[in-house]
Amino acid sequence: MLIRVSESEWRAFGATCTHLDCTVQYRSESQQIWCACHNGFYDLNGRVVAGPPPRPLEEYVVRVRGEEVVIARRN
Amino acid sequence: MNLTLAVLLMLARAEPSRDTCRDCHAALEGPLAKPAVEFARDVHARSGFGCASCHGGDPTEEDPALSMSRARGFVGKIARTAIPRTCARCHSDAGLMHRFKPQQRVDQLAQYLTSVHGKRLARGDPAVATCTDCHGTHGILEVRNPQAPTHPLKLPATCGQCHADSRYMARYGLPTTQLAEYRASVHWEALSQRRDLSAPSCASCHGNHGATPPEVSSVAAVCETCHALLEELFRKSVHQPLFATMERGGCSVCHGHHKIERTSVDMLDGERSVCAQCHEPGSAGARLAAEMGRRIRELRVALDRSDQILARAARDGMEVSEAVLGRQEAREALVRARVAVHTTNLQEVLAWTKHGMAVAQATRQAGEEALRERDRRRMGLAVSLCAIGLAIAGLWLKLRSLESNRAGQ
Amino acid sequence: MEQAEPVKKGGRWQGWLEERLGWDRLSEFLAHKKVPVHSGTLWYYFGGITLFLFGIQVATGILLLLYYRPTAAEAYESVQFIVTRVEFGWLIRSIHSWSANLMVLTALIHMFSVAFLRGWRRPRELTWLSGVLLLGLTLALGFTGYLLPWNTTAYFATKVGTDLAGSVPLVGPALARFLRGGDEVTGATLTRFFGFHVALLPALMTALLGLHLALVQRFGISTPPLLESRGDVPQMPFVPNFVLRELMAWYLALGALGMLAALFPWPLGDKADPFAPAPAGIRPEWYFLAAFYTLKLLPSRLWVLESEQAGLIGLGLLALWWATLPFWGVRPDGRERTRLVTGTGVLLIAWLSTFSVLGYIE
Repeated sequence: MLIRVSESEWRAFGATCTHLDCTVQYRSESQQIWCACHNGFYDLNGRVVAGPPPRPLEEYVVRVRGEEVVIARRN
Repeated sequence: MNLTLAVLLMLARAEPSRDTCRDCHAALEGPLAKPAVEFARDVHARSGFGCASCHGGDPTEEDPALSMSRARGFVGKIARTAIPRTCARCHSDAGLMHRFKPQQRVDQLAQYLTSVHGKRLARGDPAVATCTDCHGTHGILEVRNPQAPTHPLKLPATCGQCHADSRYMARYGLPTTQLAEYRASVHWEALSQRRDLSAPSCASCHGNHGATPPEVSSVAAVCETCHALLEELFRKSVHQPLFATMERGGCSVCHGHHKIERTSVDMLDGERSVCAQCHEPGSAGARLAAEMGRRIRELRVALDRSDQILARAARDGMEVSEAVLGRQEAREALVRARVAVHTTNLQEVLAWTKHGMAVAQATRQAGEEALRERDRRRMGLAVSLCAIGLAIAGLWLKLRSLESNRAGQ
Repeated sequence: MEQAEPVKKGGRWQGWLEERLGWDRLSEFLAHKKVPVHSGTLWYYFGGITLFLFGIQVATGILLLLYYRPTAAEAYESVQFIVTRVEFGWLIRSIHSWSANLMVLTALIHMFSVAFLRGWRRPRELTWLSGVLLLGLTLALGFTGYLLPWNTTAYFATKVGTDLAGSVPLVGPALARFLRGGDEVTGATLTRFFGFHVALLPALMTALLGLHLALVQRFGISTPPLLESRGDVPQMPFVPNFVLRELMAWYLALGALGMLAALFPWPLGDKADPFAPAPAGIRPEWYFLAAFYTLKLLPSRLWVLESEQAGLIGLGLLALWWATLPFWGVRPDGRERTRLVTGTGVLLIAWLSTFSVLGYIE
């Protein structure tokens, strides 16, 4: 999932929950990433704040080139 | 008396190394030595507490008459009915606990007194669980220590010491099937086999110190702590208010209490249907369940078929990684469709099955296109090989004519 | 005064070029070049096949160059792009990978057939030496090219390979750092290997190949000593008989390449993740397997040397021994050390094949 944190800052994470591989979603009211399967919560840095997920979300590298946003896996 | 005890407690902490109780008892044999040996690994020992902290007496005196004198606060073996009070002397003292573990709760005794165990103990029944029955007496370990009897992996067996013993529970008229049922559940499987410590054990639903079976009306709330989305969906269904008025416990009506098994679409219709418990065959409810089941099965079949084709294409060397990503989306649609049955609303289920079918169809088509491309490549190969064969044949003929000419010359 | 224009064969254009390029000397030479005909003539084609495969490598390599990006962030994705989106990209890439393997195989066959047919005898010693160097360059091209897709197998194979290079006595650590562009295999290594693979090594290869071919043309194709002693060996003209046969062999090689590329396309693998542990059973490409397995078998210490050092020294000595074959293969009086040469060759093939198989099934 691609998140625009501010005017110039973008973050990208794998949308697979680290607990049992469900797809996570963004909750705008709490500004957190939520997994519907077993109520896991992540903050906007992908770190676990509540619930069963054992690891943070996989983070990708985001580069903004003019009009394009390019996402690549970390090396 | 309390002042003496307090002074002695402080003394005990001031000189943690001088503990004549342990020194003597460790040298004895049999059951009298056991506490001293066990206490070596106790979490209290690490914080500087000793025998006298709970049993009183004077740990600095070698003479048993002095060290175990009533005048110096010695209480000997603590009566079962007095155990919670003894532990609570420290564990309910926020100021004291703050010095050792600031985050630790201090309401355990208060909670315990609300529990069935606490209430019965207060009425003088020594046969119910007290602090030491679950936490151990002398070798008390922290809950997160895998060897502690209160560790999530060991907790069911600890509760089961009493609650699975039919003779013990006979006097209370309580069933003893819970442990066996829980061991057959998907929650225990998650705990024991996948080592997923977030999975619930007894205390997760019943509470630990204030252990009480959840009220019928609050079963769903208990499940909701983890299965939040499902609770949201269930609240939209016709069952939720119905079960409430019927005083049936929410989730447990269909899923059970302890033997919560892996869900499957067979729970909707067919032989293992839970809907059939209430809905007669042919009734509106049964037909709705059957329709949901049919749609979900259809989606699963479509997914499987598309998977097969993609696997074939990948095995034959075609590049199908994008289509495989699409499969993830279809799998999610299947999960959402299955979960949507809790709303008892066919449209909610259909929304997801339709989406899933569309994605499954797209991925299947991508797989079929990959297979067609593979066939095109093989055809191209065959044509090229023919062309090469012709070229080789041509060269050979030319050679033959050249060489026969030369031979003729 | 008018000068009569001499009538050249084959038309005006040919005449125009001939006057400037001096083709007539070349065609004269070729017309007289002959190739011995005997039961071992079959082996004579393998040098040409290797040359053909090198040509294929250059051609497919140039095509791949149009899309490949030599940085850690983009290498894998660019190969994925080539294989999925570029028209016939999958074919070019698979041919390039398969042809690399075939080229090593045909080079080895060529080398061993020359060894057994005694093509290295005086005055062809330099031809042999340049050939051995060419084999080394081919292996180097294989090693550097293998990393370029930046997938898991490539990454770890390179890690193991450069670690081994670091075990060479004295120069090892410096050599490893030179190869890797640092202390670890990183994007810098990739860019460096790319430079080696597309520029440095092909340049060296071309120069050596030119020397090798020039020497072959100068001395002609050698006849095995046994047949030489029997007297007149039948010959066939290089042009057109040998050339036509060679062309047939080239077409066969092309067909084989096409089949391999279409029926067994080269896999893409997963993108390299330096932080992931090495996958179980990681091993190098088949042409390094024998050496790899031998090094694995050695005890951890041999007198004062670590096993890798001892192993590398051993392998280096073996290579030196084989490279100097023309010099110890004949006695000072000119008579050949037949059994020694044949024995060495047979043992070498036996070691290579057994240990490669063992290394594969381990």
